[in-house]
Amino acid sequence: MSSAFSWRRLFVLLRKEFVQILGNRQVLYILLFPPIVQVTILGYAMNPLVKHLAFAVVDESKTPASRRLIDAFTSNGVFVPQGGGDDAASVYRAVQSGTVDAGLVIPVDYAQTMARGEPGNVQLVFDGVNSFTANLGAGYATLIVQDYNARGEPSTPLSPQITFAYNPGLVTAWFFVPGLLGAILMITGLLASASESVREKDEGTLEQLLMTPASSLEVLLAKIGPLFVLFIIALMASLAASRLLFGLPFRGDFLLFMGISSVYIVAAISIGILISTFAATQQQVVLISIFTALPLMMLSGAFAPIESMPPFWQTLSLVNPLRHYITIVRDILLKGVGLDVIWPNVLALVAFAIVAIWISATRYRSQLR
Amino acid sequence: MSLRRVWVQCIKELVEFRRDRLTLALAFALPVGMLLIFGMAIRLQITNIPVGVQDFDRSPFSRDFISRINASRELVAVPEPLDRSPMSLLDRGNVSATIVIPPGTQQALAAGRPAPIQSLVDATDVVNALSIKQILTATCAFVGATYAPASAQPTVDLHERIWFNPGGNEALFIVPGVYAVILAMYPTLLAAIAMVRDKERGTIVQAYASRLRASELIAGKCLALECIGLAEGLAIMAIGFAVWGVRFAGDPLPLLIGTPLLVCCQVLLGLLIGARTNTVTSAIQASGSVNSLVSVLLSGFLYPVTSMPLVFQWLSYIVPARHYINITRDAFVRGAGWPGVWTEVLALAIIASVLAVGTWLSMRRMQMAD
Repeated sequence: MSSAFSWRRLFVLLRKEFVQILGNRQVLYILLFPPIVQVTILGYAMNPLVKHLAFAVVDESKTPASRRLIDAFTSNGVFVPQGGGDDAASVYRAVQSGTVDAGLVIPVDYAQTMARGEPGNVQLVFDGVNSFTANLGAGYATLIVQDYNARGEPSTPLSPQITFAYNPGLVTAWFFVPGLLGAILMITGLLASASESVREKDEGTLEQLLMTPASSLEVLLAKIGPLFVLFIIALMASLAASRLLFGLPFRGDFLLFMGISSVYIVAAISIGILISTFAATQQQVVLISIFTALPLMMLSGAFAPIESMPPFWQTLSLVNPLRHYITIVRDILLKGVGLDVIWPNVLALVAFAIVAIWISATRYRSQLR
Repeated sequence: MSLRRVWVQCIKELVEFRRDRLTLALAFALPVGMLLIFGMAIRLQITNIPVGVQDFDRSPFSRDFISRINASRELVAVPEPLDRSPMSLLDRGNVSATIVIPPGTQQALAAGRPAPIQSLVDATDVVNALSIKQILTATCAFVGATYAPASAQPTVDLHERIWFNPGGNEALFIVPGVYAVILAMYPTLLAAIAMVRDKERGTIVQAYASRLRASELIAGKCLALECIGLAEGLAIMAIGFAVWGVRFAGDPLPLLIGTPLLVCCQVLLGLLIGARTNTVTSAIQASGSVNSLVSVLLSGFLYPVTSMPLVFQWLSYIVPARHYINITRDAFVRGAGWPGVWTEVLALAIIASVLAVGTWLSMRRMQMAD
């Protein structure tokens, strides 16, 4: 069995792992390239807000009043007029076949009823197949009509004065980049560390490694080392790219952020090594990694809000390191708050990293039996 | 092309697949697990967002206003102490917005004077922020109307109807989308592995040495993986029916034709990736992460394609899942049938043929006879 922990052995092992990884161009490319590219491309492409809804209009009234209403709908880019029709039935058909997302029907007597001082009835149908889009669109439509009714002056003296904190321009990339950073570090970290350490098993060099006086902990720390350095580089590069492209702010403490990110990266790598102790081949490693990473990503709040999940899943997400990391990144980057607010998340993350290393160190030596 | 050789190649693939117990288990467990998590846990509609309220007015109006906020499914009003600054409340992160009802609001309303309600919204989550804005504006309009003298101007009454899924049942939106994402991810992954494994183990040399042609090798592997993919599809759709009652809303024929076409596209893509890469790890990186991300994000599964920058909208036309997702959503929710989706089925057929030619060409480069 191994002797006490030795820095010299760790250093030698670290050198071996660094030489091994730096010698493999393809691995370097796979580790560094995707995080940076994915964060920037996805941060640019993903937009949960509703824009450019295809919108069919039938204006049976054909009066200046009805045209003003249509202008109100189409002037802000949410609804884009696309075709239309002569009668309500053709608009309904367009919505029914899915060629447009929404249809507006202004009845023949619209102008007359309004002139009589009665409310004019206008119908707006949404294709609810995408219920999320339909709901957001319906919300916009309500606001548009409220504005139209007010005709410049407030219809009721009660008006909300709403200020958006932390992200006044509602830049969607600011919301997505922290989630993407966490998710991509997790999935690449898992895959890379799991397949790097199962290769040792594949090539039969694991026996040699375990026969040396080095302890499991030393071997593991040496395996974590080079990947850790690469992921820190990838993280900094992704952050720099997001700052350049999206103006992503960094309002909090940089050292605190890097410290917590280090803990998180170690946790992701340790989970990967843990996976490798269960798998015999590369193929199994990858399938198990994806199986682990997908639920972690889905239940993290990176893409879908945690508050909206059923209570059971919300509780479950508390053991998800990704969830805590994303909360921390958003808090530090966008809100600029410190440890006094995020300490519960940091605590959870540290606990997670320690448990993950401990279990994989325990399993690492016994995996050959 | 000899049909017998294609058939033998297909049987060989299936036997190999069946022997690898773990892959077999994961090929079905992964999609089912993903379906269950998505169908049960993922909700994009916001609900129960905590909103801190600092009520300085303490009037019938302010109580009405707060109960009106609680009546919406989306927001929950949390009373906050009056001596804290709104910003510090948001910093703590327990509430997503704060509302300040200033003293004298009710009197101002009764007198017809403007009465602003101040709200600070945490915009780190952009969708939440916008939804909170919509709800607050609507709440103000509604409550304001009862406490302030009504304006005499005629107004427009908007009658909004949401068709096909009037209850906003989100499972009905998510689950057919997950079908498309799953069928876009796993067949590709399995095909890429099946292709590159022969290369990594060196057994591809035996195929070179045999009389097997490139087209026969592709057809055989494609047939085997098509069967596996269709079995996966059948399994997840059966579960979708059993758990969420997702059933056909109209003519099932476009789906019955579209599903084999999609699986074919994805399998060919996997074979192409397998032919172009040399190790299982890189094949899986390419098919597992790139293809999955593209299929999830450019298909309109979560966020509408029309909201993306134009370049990505164009790009999305070559993503098979984008076309297939329209077919599943039509088959299970809208039910319009052929008139709505024939273009999507056609697009899948075109993508499949292009991929077939591409795979064949890269196989020829691998020293195979035509």
